[in-house]
Amino acid sequence: MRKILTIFSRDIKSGIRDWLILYLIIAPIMIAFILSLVIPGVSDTNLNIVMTKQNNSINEYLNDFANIEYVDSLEKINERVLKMDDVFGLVPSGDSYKIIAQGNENASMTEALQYIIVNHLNKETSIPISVEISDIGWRESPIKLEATSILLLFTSVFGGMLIMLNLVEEKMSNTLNSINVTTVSRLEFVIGKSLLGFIVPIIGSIGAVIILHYTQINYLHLIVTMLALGLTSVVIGFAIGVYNNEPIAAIASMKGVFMPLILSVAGAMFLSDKLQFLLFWSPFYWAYKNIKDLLLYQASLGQIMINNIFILVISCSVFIILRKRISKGFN
Amino acid sequence: MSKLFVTFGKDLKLSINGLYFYIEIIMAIVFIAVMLIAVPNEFESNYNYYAVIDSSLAEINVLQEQPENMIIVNSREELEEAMSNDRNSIGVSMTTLNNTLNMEIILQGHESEKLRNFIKAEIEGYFITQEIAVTEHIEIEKLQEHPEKLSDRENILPVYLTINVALMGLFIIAAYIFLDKEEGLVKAYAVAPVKIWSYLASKAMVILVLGLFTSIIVVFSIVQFRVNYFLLMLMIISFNIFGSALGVLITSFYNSMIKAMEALYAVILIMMLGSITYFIPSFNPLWIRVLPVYPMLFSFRELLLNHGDKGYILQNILLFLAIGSVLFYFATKRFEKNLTI
Repeated sequence: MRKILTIFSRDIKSGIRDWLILYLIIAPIMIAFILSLVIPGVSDTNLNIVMTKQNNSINEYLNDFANIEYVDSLEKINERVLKMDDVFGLVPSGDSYKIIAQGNENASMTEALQYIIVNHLNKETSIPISVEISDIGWRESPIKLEATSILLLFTSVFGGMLIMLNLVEEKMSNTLNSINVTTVSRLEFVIGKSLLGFIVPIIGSIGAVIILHYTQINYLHLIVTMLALGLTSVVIGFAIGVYNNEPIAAIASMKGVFMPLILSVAGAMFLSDKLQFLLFWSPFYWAYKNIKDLLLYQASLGQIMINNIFILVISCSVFIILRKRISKGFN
Repeated sequence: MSKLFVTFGKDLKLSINGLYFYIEIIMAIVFIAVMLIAVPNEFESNYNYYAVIDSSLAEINVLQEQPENMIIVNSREELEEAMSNDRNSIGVSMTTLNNTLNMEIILQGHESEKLRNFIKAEIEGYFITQEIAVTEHIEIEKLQEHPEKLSDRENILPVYLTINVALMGLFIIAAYIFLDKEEGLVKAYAVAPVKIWSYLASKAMVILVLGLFTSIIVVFSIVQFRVNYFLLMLMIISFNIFGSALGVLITSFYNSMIKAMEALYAVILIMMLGSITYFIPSFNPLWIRVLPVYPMLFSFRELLLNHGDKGYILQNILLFLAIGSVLFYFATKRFEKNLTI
């Protein structure tokens, strides 16, 4: 134990000397701060219209529903509609209006715009239905939720990357060979080296959720999830770090970690429920589910534990498969 | 110039001997396999609707046809609970009030006032069209006769290409520079008749060669002959120069690899936010449109379309070449002062 702490404290000391640890902890918090500035707190309308200023009340009417850009000619309307994002043009046509679309917009959005204009032109028509809008009081924006989940996943992966780079540096300066002849056992060395990769992401992620106002989160569940995910990152970090004695290959290998991470998150978001099984192999998938439930404040201890067990089983299996490779890398 | 090619030749040889080259190629093959085997051609929506219909309306068939993702529940409490457990959902409650049908749309709560007005006006407008047939008055002019759309699978390709070509280069070039610093190679360069710019350019070119190679095999495996490979190559060259120059510039501010990695990591994460608008084109705030990743993603998308906007692609190729060159100039200036420190 003392030896483990010695290795750990040596890493901390050298990390603090050049401000590295502080820097690593601050980075996710800084990113969280930037996200909190740029991500809108509410889900806003996705109806974007470009038009010329009209004398009647249509401008004012549409302003209640849409983001409006004003230009001064039909050419400019067409030009804007043809740009990459989805914006509709609107021009008067007789006593009605004409919608100018590029053609690749979401069909339901085009229909919605038609209905809104019909509504404006036929204000007097009575309909046999009254429509009201209410809500169930959940104020968290979904974009902020997704961005925070992804930030926490990457924060953990960075812990693994830190270990990896640390090991590569040790290999480059040949200190790893020296460790082999000391009384420190390999396991003690591994644990000592790993501690930083667990602790830094935990502090970073707690800071990030506070900055992003998820203050009601169950911190214990968050820590447990980050620890489980940390194991994945640490295994990856060791497997890559111990084998590569130059940082370029090591960093290129990290791409092999980003890719499943991004695919897992994108898959969890976009694949239908019956296809989600395609992602069961990925620890990032289970971690993403956990983190999202935690941020939605709907995580139950049982579910968190089951997901964490999946993460642990996958990480341990990867470790067992790579065990020989890792131990070979030490020599 | 000839010195640049000599340095480049040496760097390329060294990287072919190293693992980096092969890892990149294996990653590309794994990506192709995942795309072709595990990613369906079209995704399905995960959005659910929960509806509660008053018993007095049971006789009338309020929902003429029930959509697949609509779930009927028995009470308002049940509806709220279901919605709380499924934040990707909307609720509808149908009741009668003084002989008028009342439709209450129940949202989660994060929706802005504009969005709420929009939903209400849209539904009212729909019922007006049912009362009086007026939709035909609202003419729609489509500027493109046959607008194309990529399949959901193909739509992922621009994201891969942008990460592969523009963003990963940031890391790799930083790693190259720190490796050379560590091994004292940089000091050797200081006394050798090689200019700093050609040292940096040669590293960028190695990354470019790999970027070209891996991107072309990935694009070919997924869309075969449908794209203009000459344009694809020009795009990769331009975006890669931008990425490498940005990587070199950021690296020049740091004296340790891990610190530089962290900064590059933050830059990459922020830049990747551009992909939100790529997947949801109607969410287009200005702060996303000014991120460099935004025009890159859309340029790759235009390239994959049969009748994509070539003018837009060429404009971005020139833009990133210009910005990349300026960044590269400043990075070289900075390194001339501090590379050997």
